[in-house]
Amino acid sequence: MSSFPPPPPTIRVIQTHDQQRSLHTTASRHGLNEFFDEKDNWGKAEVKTGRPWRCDELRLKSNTDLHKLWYVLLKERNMVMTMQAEYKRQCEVFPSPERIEKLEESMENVLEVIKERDRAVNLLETGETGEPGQRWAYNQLGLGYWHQCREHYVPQHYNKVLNARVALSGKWQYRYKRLYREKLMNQEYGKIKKRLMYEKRLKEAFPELEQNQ
Amino acid sequence: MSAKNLPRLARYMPLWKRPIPPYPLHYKGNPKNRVFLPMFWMKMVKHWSTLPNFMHKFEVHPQMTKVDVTNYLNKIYDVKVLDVRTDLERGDEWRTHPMTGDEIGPEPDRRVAYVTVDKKDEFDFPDIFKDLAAPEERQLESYRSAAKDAALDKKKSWQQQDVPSWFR
Repeated sequence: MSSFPPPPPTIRVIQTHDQQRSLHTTASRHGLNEFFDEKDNWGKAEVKTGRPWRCDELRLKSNTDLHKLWYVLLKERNMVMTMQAEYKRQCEVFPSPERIEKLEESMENVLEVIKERDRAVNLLETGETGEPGQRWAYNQLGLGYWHQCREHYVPQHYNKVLNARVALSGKWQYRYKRLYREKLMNQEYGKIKKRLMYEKRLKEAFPELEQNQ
Repeated sequence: MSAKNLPRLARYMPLWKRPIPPYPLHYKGNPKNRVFLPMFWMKMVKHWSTLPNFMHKFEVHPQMTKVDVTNYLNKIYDVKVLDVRTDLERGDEWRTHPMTGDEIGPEPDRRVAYVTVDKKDEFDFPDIFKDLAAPEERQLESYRSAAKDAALDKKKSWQQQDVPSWFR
C-alpha cells in the first residue's frame, strides 16, 4: 500500500577501545550519610584537595551550573564542619583544615559572579543596579547620616519612630547643632596646635636644621 | 606615623559566621519567596547521651528556624523530617589553662536542632576512630618512627654531626 522508499541505512559510529572511556563516578551516598566523609579518609593525617574555583572560570558557566555547584559546595562545607566538630570532640588533630577556607573562597566567587550578572541585567533593563542604596537622612538630634534603605514593614503614617523624629525636629536644634560643630572644630584645632608645638620643640632641639633650609 | 593613627581595616568574617539578611516581605497574592542560594549551614554533632536511631542532633546557623531546618534537610539531603525541636546551648566561658595559665576565650552560644526522621533515614552516628589504635599508642608509634629516623641520620652522617642538619 505504501509507496515510501525504505529508510536509508543509519550510519553507526563504532567506538573502538581507544575512544571509549570508562565512566567514573564517586560512590553514591544519600541521606544523612552525606554529613560524613568517605570511610577511606577517616583518621588520616592529610586529605588531598584541589584549589578553589576562580571567578574567571565561573564566568564561563551558565546560571544553572552555578546553582548546582553552589549546592555541591554547601554540602561539602557541611561535611567538613561536621568532621571538624567530631575530631574536636575526640581530641584529635583535624586533617587539612584549609579545606573550609577553600570552599568558602569558591562560594564567595560564585556569589560575586551572580551579583555581577544581576547588576548587568538590572542596568540593561532599568538603568539602575538592583541593590539597596543609601540616602542622606537626619536622626532625632538633627544630625545627618547616611541611611541604609530597606523595605518598609509598615506604611509611613504608621511608623511611630519616623513620626516622632519629624515631630522632634525644629528650630530648637539649631543651637545645639552649632555647639556640636564648634566642638568638632575645636578638636580639629587641637590637632593642628599639637602638630605646631611639636614642630616648635623640634626647632628648639635641632636649630641647625632650620639654618640648612 | 604610629599604628594608633592608621585607619582601622574591616576584619574578615568567614562566610558561615556572617549574619544573613532577612527574607523579603511577602504580601498576599504575590509569588512565593524562594531562596536560590541558601547561606545556612548545619553540622551533625554527637549528643552527650545516646539518642535513638531516628533522632539526630544538629548544630545549625543561629538564624535558622524549625521550618528552615525541615526544608533544608528535605530539599537538599532528601531526608523526610517528622519533627524538629530547637534549643540554645550556652557557649564556654572565660577560663584559664590549668598547666600553662593561658586564657581560653569565650565561645558564642549555639543553636541546636533535634530532628526526628522517617524510618528510611535511620542512621547510626559513626565511630570514626574505631578501627584505629588508641591515641596514646599512635603517639608512641610516631615517637618511635622519629627516633628511628634520627638514628639512621646519625649513622649516615656521623662525621658532620656538629653541622646543622640543613647543611649536611
